[in-house]
Amino acid sequence: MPSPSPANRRANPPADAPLRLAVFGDSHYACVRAAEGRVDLAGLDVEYWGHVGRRFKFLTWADGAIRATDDQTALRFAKFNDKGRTSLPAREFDAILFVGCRLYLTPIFLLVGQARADGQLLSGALIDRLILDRLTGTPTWDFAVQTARLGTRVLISPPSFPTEGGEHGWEALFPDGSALLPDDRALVWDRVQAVMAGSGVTLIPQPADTVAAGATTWLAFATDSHATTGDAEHKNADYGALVWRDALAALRGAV
Amino acid sequence: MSHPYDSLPPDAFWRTAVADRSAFDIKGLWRPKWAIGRKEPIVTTGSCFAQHFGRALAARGYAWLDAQPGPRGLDDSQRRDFHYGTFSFRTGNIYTPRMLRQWLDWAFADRMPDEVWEKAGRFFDPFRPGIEPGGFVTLEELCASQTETLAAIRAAIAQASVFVFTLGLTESWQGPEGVEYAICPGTVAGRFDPAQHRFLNHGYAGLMADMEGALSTLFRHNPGVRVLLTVSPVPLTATASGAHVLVATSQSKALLRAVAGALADDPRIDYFPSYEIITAPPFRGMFFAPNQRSIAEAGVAFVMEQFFSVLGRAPAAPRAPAPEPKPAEPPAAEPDSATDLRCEEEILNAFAQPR
Repeated sequence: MPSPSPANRRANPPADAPLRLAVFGDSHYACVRAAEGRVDLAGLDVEYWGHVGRRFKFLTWADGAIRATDDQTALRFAKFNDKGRTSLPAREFDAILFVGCRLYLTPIFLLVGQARADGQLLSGALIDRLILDRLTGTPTWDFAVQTARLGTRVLISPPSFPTEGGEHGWEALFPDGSALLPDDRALVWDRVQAVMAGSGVTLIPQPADTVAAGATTWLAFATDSHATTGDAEHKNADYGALVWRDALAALRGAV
Repeated sequence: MSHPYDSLPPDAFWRTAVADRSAFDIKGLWRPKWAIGRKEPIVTTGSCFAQHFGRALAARGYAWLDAQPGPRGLDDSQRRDFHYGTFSFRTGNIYTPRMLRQWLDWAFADRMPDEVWEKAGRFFDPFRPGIEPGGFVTLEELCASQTETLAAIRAAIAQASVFVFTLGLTESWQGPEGVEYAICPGTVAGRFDPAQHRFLNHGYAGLMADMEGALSTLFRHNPGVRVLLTVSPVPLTATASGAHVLVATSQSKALLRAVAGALADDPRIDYFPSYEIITAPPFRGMFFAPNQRSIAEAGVAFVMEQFFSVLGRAPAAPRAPAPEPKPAEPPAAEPDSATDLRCEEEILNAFAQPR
């Protein structure tokens, strides 16, 4: 009998064994959590492990798990996990969905839009380099790659584009980034998908039906706090449901 | 009876100018024909060593002209690896006078040869195969990039007050139409075909004809521009001439130096002796890295010190009014000592036979 593959380390799992899925994220994963009741999660055993983004600098990869570098951070992550996990051991899951996780790609889209406005050529090889530099400069990308190497399926839903009409802080660098066209956007997603696939990671791009002009998200997907605080970053359960839709399609297509 | 040597200054005599001095105290190696002001747009191009001039000029607040800065938002390493900001335009290294002539002809004809090299599904420009790491993803991108660079060359020449060109090599490879490649086909990309590709080691007459052709184009499109020539002190990585590489280096550099010297008889053209500053006997090879080829940081710094110490002192020569200078870019950071130069010819090392 062949040895179990790394992707299926449970010895002789029952045919109806649920797929063990961890949703790992920073505050962006709140929308996914909020949408849980709206999607059919049959066949899945879902756990959440996450905390606000500023705690991510206290995470590291060690012994096959994402771990906190200090007790305080470990407790904070444990607080939002049903099992009180202080770390996220990759081998205990069949798949991990990274949501947000500081993997900001919006600047690349804006850079492409700005290049279009400036009449500058931005070649495919250079876009690949921008993507790779941005990913490798983010520790969570290393977590994703390490997790994938252990045979656990990794999906990444990066932070969404800012909500339309709001300030997001990138205007100074890319004042004309909104010149981004739908074809440009599709091209960047294709390149991101290819770069991630090179490391065994599946991209869950921002659902096309949530994208407004340029690199922004329709107001309909903003959180309630958008109106009061101008929060352009976080999204609501409607958005989370669409992330679930695409992530589940990817998971079930491969399971 | 008196003779002409009686009245010569000390720097005309080897003993007083060189032998009796510390190497670091040898002064006056360059007497610029004209001053270069900090607001005068300066274009730099040529072989590897030319990269130092652009960086040094920008770092010291001179109006080094970057006519093809690339997309906004790139960081320094991305710009460097994709050859933005290396020279005034994204041609990669222009090693020979023929290549300079070709680029200027193509720029003003707004057309380049159709030849493209392919490797592993990517496309390479035979005339600057190293500018796009891994090659262009599509042929359309390659063509768009060529168009962009030709426009940048035209814009740079139109604005330039000073055009700095560093002559690097005499050896070259040509295609069936006589067009000269940046590097031998088959090394970076493309396929070498002995029936199609020809080795040519330019002689004095050919080098001079190509420089005169290039300069004629340059002056035709910018009559007021002044030209500063230098010769790269970097020896050949490899020679296909059949000679020992050291002997081949000596021949190449001697020819380039002779051509530059002869051209500098023209009042619009000056010669800066970076070659001599690095290679002359008093410096005892101290500015070379252990491989005796690369120039150490201290050597580059010494050359630049000699260059900038007198750059602004000479009286400005009468010349046609300069075009309105482009607003100066913010001074760039001092070059990082770890920054390596981008020489396509370095790739030849990968093909060197083990001894």
